Amino acid sequence: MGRYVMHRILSMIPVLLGVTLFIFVVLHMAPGDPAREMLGSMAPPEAVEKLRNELGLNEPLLVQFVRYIGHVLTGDFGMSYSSRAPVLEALLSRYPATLTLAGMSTLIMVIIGLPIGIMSATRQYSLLDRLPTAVALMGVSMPTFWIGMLLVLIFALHFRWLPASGFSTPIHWILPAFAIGFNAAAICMRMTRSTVLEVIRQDFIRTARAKGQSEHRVLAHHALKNALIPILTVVGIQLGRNLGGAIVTETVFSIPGLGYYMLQSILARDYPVVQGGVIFIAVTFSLVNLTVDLLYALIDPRIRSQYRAMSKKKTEKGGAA
Amino acid sequence: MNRATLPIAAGALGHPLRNRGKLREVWSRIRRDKAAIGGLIALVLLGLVGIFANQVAPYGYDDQNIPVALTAPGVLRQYPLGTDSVGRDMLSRLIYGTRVSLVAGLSATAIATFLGMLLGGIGGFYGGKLDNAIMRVMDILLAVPGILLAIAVAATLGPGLRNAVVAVGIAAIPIFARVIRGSILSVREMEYIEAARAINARDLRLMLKHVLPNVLAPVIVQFTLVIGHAIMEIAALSFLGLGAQPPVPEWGAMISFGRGYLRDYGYMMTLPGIAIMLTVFSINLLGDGLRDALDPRLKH
Repeated sequence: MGRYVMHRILSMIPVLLGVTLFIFVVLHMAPGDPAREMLGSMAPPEAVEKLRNELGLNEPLLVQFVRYIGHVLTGDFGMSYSSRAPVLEALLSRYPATLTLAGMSTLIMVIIGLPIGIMSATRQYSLLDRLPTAVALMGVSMPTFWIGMLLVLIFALHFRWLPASGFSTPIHWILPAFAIGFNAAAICMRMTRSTVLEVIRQDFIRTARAKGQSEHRVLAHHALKNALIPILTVVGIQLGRNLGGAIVTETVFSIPGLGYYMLQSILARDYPVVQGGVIFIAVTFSLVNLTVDLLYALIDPRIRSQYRAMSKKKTEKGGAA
Repeated sequence: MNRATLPIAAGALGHPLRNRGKLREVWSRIRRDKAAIGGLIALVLLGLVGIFANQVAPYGYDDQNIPVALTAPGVLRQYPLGTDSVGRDMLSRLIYGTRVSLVAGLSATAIATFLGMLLGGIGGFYGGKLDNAIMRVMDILLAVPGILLAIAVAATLGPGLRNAVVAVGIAAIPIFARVIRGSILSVREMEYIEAARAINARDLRLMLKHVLPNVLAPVIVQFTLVIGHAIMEIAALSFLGLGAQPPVPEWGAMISFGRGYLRDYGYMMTLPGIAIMLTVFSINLLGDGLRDALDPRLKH
């Protein structure tokens, strides 16, 4: 198992390098000159040129990239072009808000989506199935930023129950987390429903029923246990997506998080911030995926034994070589 | 965007897709699905509204009538859905927006489908190092949320609807590449492919005549579902200022414009959102129906 985790962590490295290179190339292809942006349109060309040299922007792209990676590996994400402050600190100070938002919305998703999905599947074609299914389909058809604005309109501007922007106290978290969570819950509900429906048609469920087990026990001990893996996959994918959803939602609610900061930086051509932010998000994304894969092993003994077999094979191979 | 791929078995239709009997069977299954038919009818209507926007819309999308600016829906008979802050008819803008948003969503999905099928197809068909290289690039694209990727690409290309379409299209490539690759891998070893190879069919013929028809089912389903996501992502880019620019009546741009009047004139933001919701809802109804019809084993 330890070997497998190690292998997975190591295999993240090329992907993260690739992501960094991709974003590096994309940003450097963009029209506009960060040095010109920093100095303003009135600055003399010599000053701009001097700053370009200082920032290393005149060197070949590959040289810039290799140097950047070298710095990142030592924890130096560079200086923000616009604020002249270290990028790492700026990102770290904004990261908790984004993570909280993604986490809260995932929690809302699971709390709403999971039970309704199960209820829907166990009462297929009843009103308790059709109504939630229709609402969920509606939910996946609404853009999150629009849901966010609707929530602001209703709960902040009309009823004045909740604040319309900011993220300083848990009260501020509610609307943005629901904006992302509603859409995610709809996806989660649909996936849970179809997974549970698939499982409860399996032979082992019929066997369990034939043994005379109560419906509750059949559902809790046989159906849900087997439906958990695909559901967990969706939760993992959604957590990552909620991270993406946070970028747009943070703009709606003016939340000082990673997404809002990155968007501002993209528009201002503040390359170091964008690059650092993308690395942060990609690492989080990969770690979530890894955690989900490891949870599989925790839930399903079959997968656990597969991991063991894989490690064993590798050891044997290593020994033979 | 839904980056999870649907687990639809390749060749679910049997061989070949162009077999009329099979097509008829699929159609008869869809026909019995009231929700899917409802979605299809709504989409056809929306398509017609988009195509004939010039004839259907009472005003041009940019015609201003300042004296009646900010009229709420239902107040003036000439402006049933009201007017925005510069006196433009909301109904006309929504009608023209149907054209803009549908074409944008379709174009982005078409870009993703074409490039995704090309890359996934080459990878799945030839396998080996090329496949490995292509799939690693796809992994890289999947390692960041699609919307972030689209934002970065859109910012690079510059604000504008066309660039937003390209950005959303690029971000969705891995979905199709994975679906098509997975399907091809399972079809590649089939006996009829071996038979075609045995009679010396060339790669291109093999791919287009024998492999492609058998892997189309999951692509069709994915295509339908991705259009809805593409419309929403393009709207999100426009909302962030990276997509359609004024006065283009794209729905996301309209929401963004209405945001400034949220407190007193909420309809400027809610109406285009409802338009997005209804359109994507219809697309999803049809997409779900298509999935059930093309692979009945998944029907619930």
